[in-house]
Amino acid sequence: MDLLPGKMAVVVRFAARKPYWTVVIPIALLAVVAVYPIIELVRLSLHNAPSATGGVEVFVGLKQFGWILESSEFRNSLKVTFIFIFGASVVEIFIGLALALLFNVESTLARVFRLLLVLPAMLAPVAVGLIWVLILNSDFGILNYLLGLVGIEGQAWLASPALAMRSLILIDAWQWAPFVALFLLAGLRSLPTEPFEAAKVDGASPIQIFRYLTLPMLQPVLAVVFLIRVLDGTKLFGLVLVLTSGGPGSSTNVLGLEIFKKAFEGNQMNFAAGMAVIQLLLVLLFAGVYTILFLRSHAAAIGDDT
Amino acid sequence: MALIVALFMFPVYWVLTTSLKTPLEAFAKPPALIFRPTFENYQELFSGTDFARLTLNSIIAAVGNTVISIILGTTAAWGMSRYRIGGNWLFIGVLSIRFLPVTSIVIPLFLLFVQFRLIDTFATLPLAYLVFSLPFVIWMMRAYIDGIPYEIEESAMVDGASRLAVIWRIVIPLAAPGLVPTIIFCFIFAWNELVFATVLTRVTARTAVVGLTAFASTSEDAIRWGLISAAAMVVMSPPMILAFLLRRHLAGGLTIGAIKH
Repeated sequence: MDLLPGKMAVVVRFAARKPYWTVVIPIALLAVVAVYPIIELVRLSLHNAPSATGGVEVFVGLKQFGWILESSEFRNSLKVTFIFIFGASVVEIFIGLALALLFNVESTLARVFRLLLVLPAMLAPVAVGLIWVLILNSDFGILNYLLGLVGIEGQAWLASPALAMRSLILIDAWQWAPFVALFLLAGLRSLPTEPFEAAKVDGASPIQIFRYLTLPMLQPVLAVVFLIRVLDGTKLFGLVLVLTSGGPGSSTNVLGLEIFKKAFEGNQMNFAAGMAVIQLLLVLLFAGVYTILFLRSHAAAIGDDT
Repeated sequence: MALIVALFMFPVYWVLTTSLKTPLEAFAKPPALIFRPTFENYQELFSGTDFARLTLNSIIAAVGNTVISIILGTTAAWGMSRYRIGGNWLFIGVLSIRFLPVTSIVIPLFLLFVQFRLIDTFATLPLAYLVFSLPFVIWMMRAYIDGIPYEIEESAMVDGASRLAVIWRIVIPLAAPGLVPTIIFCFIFAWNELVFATVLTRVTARTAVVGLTAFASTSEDAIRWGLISAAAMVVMSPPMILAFLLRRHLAGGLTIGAIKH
């Protein structure tokens, strides 16, 4: 309260007049490049293109979604997407948790590794895909060669329908499990130390400590990072494009790829727009769950402090 | 532990060495572990193909987008932080745009850009990437500016500084530790982006990531592995170098807001 009345008046005047100009250009730009496209996307999905002979767009309404749901390609892509999302997310959480626990120690090697963890997440999925194309190539790849040395027959990792999805999941895990580990390491470090010390004094085994202390306390962070991976998985595109282009057959033809193919190769913009709306709804659903978990974990963290 | 680190890094090591091998060595069985590194592949890549031009295009797209979104985003973040413009609803609205799947938004965006004759120009990608970079910058910078005490700005304004001066002279320098990772993430996102770059550009503004994808699909005979590896290294290097230089900032930036520190 050491403000002079004159100064106070200036401050009040400034505070009262909000600088709306700071948000006008960004909001206007976002309205053009993000909000309008969403509205246009929904509109497209409810119409069909004019016939080849000309004319105007035909309103088809929700019938579009009926056709989409009947389409076997769409159904397959949805199935493939879910297999990928949950396969990859679960694998990444397990590997990420293992890495986080393993490298949550003070040693030079652990410190170096923690710095390296951030690298794969920074790389273009396309580049990551290409690296693995080289390694997994069934004739010239290094992996099959190394397996041959120990007497295991090489596999067509990306070209066999049975293996392609598993390879895809493991490659995605190479890129993202370290990111999960980084997240979990930050989570581990924010845990209070007292319960762990008390448990040690009481003679709890490392497995008991993990099972009854670490895991429950880390659970909110685990949930958040799992949802982040689920959200990202829904949008998968570049990695699978380079690795398999959706094949062999359509065994890795995820939703993003199917939308892209229909829109820009099959020239079925409206049909693709309908599928894109479904993809959007899926992401909204996951994002909603994410927001709830996120808010809850924050509430929990604040609750722990007080 | 060392074994895990080695296994984890092996793919990057492998693509690096493949890019330094002659075609004969790249296909040698057993794999040539000891070889004389050659830069032939890089020479071929930059003089024999138009990859140099694509790389330059990537830089234009990434730098252009980063500059626009940092300037506009930080200013908006300041307004939204200090004056609560739009309240939480505007903030949540802006933030939710970040969740949009690229493959969904690209269809209407493509039609829009066709109408405005914005396909395949140097402005195309810097504009299109605003969809994701602007909300990202606003999100990161609002959180950061919230943490800077208001008193310094207040006294500057009392002394007659304009708001723009306050943003440039006081907020930006104070927010630098938050600004640096934000800039890096913007750059890396735009550099790596594939879907918009594939759909919204053709020839003139085509980026390196799209070029790399094209290599992969046209070289099924796998004769040019060294060349592909070299191209992959070019695409991977800037993010890796930036991530390494800013390792401390990045780990914090990646997990910002998700975990209470």
